[in-house]
Amino acid sequence: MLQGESTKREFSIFSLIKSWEFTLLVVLIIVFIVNTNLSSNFLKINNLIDTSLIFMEKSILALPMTLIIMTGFIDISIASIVAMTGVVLATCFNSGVNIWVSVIIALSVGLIAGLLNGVIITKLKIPSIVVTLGTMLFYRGIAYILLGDNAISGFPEKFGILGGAYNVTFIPIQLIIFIILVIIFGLILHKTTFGRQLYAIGNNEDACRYSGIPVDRIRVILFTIMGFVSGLCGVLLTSRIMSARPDIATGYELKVITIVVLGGVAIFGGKGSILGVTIATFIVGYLSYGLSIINIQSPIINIFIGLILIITLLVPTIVAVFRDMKGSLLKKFNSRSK
Amino acid sequence: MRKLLFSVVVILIVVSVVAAFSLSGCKVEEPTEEAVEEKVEEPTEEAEEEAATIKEGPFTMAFLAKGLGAAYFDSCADGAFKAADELGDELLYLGPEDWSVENQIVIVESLIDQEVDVIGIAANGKDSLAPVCKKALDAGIHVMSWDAPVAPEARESFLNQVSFEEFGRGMIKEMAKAIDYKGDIAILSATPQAPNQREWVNWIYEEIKDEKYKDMEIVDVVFGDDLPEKSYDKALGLIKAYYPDLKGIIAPTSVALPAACAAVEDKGLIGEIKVTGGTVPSAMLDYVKNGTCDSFVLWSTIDLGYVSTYMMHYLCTGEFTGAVGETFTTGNPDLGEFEVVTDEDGNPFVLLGPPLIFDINNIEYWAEIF
Repeated sequence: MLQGESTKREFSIFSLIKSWEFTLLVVLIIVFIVNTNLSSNFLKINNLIDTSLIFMEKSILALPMTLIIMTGFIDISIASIVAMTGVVLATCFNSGVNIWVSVIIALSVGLIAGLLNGVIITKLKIPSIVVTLGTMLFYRGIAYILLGDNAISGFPEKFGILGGAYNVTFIPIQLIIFIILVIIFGLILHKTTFGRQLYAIGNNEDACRYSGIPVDRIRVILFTIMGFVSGLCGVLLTSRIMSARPDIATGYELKVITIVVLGGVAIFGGKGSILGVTIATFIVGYLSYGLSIINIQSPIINIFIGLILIITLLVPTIVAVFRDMKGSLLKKFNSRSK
Repeated sequence: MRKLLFSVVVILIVVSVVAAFSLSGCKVEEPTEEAVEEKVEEPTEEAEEEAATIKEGPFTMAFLAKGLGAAYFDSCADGAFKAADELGDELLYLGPEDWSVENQIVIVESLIDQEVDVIGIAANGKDSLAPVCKKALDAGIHVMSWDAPVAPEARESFLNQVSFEEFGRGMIKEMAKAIDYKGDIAILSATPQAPNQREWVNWIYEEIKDEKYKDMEIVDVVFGDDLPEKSYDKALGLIKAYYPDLKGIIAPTSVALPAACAAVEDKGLIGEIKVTGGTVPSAMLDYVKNGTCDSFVLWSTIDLGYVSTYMMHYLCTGEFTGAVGETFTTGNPDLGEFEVVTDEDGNPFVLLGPPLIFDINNIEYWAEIF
């Protein structure tokens, strides 16, 4: 299997050091050290928890995105679903529906949006990037039709607790949701047959079809989960900023995909782990936060994130080059072809 | 199991390394930014202990724009830096590059972490920014807004650049002068929902009820969504539909006004149709010179940044709290005295002053500036 070192049964320190997750952990430590030097407040536990709020929505979105990319597909409509569900929530609330009922309606809308993505992709056999490009515009358009350039606010204070707009709990609910989802997705991906099937689909879809794995049904399930989680993020984001606007979450899809790729998930599928993505989300989150502490403007922050992405992705290549020099690559090739 | 053990060990190492670093970072006071900030804070704390009501600077002030890369906000920042120089304070000019609510929230969060003394914000969303601004207030940071307010409970004061009434009435007055109080006019606005646009258009309708405008009529209001191409197309549409009766177009947005001028120019109707509205002077230099637009209104963005920086400073010193009836002066005596007044909803704010009118006599001077 391609996912390789991280899940090897045999344990050795060397294989751990070689693993992607370890590289990411080192990068995360570097980010923490640099940030600590930049701001004496950074390492305080409540500050760490507090600042996690500003990127938690993206972190949550990265989890189902990992599963989708794992099977070799992609969903770029997520940011639009986030905006649409936020707007639906606000529109329902504005027309007198109870706030928690509105939340349920918004979640269902997200779920249906994801289901629609999945059904179109699998039934009509159109590439996922094209379908979700279309629905990206479609869902965002719905958000604009419902709200125009308006913003709806005036949600009850209770609702703000969800997204952490009002600090009531010590650990924000967003963070708790993220941790629960990490555990759920980690178990699904690494401990269940379903998870193994995802790796298999990513590696060789045709072989999976011939061996009777319901590839299409799995894909529809994945996109539905993605839609539901996007809906959840729409609710959380609306709650965090205590208002709904159709232009929220623009560009989230690219940031989420960046996190997933940085997390070691192969963009063509078949490789990756939830742990890697989890570490990557903290790297991206705290890196951009650390840079904003020293008032570096966001375009330059984006450059840093791009650089980190490329450098981290280069590490295995560089390692391979060194191996190549020793001539061991040939040996490895031989042993693999046996 | 061993793997689990190993990961625990790794985490422990991480924690200890980071902890060691943070401790050493506190002890070793190299001349880093941190040390500078600490030095800055010392005198203020002493002043506090002496129970003096007026704190002394220098203060760290954050001047937060709606977004980066716009001539409008850059010129506001010019004024802000000028004031900061006079006051001896440190000013940070910041803003989200994508003009989004989320990134503006991130910036405010990081400012809270940096423990700046005061934040002056042109908010991208009145309510969206309110929770985080409230958090800043709770953290002991002063918050005021300029240009675009945050919700009243999340700020200490607000510097409004111009009253909606004066700006709306000002535009129709300029238009009347340009077309000699005769003919049909149309309005090219941004969006039907934008609160400032709605207010201005309402005041235009209010002003035109006056007897002296009896030969003028507003025939249409169209919306260009603040997009240059769309505004241009809408202006062409107005010309097509109403010319030759159409004598003027009022465009109260910084995007639509140059677009409307371009449309009139491209149709070869310079002088036939007059255009006015509000935008930055540098965008209008050519159109004022060639007669497409006789005059237009805006406020001095430099004064906006300048006065709001003084407000930020006075909030820090404690000389100003934003209560109704309070007054203050700035380093520029020409600007006079500012007073806190209340709007229709009873929320206190400070008014910058009457709008500034730009015409052929002063356009070159102002176009150089912003």
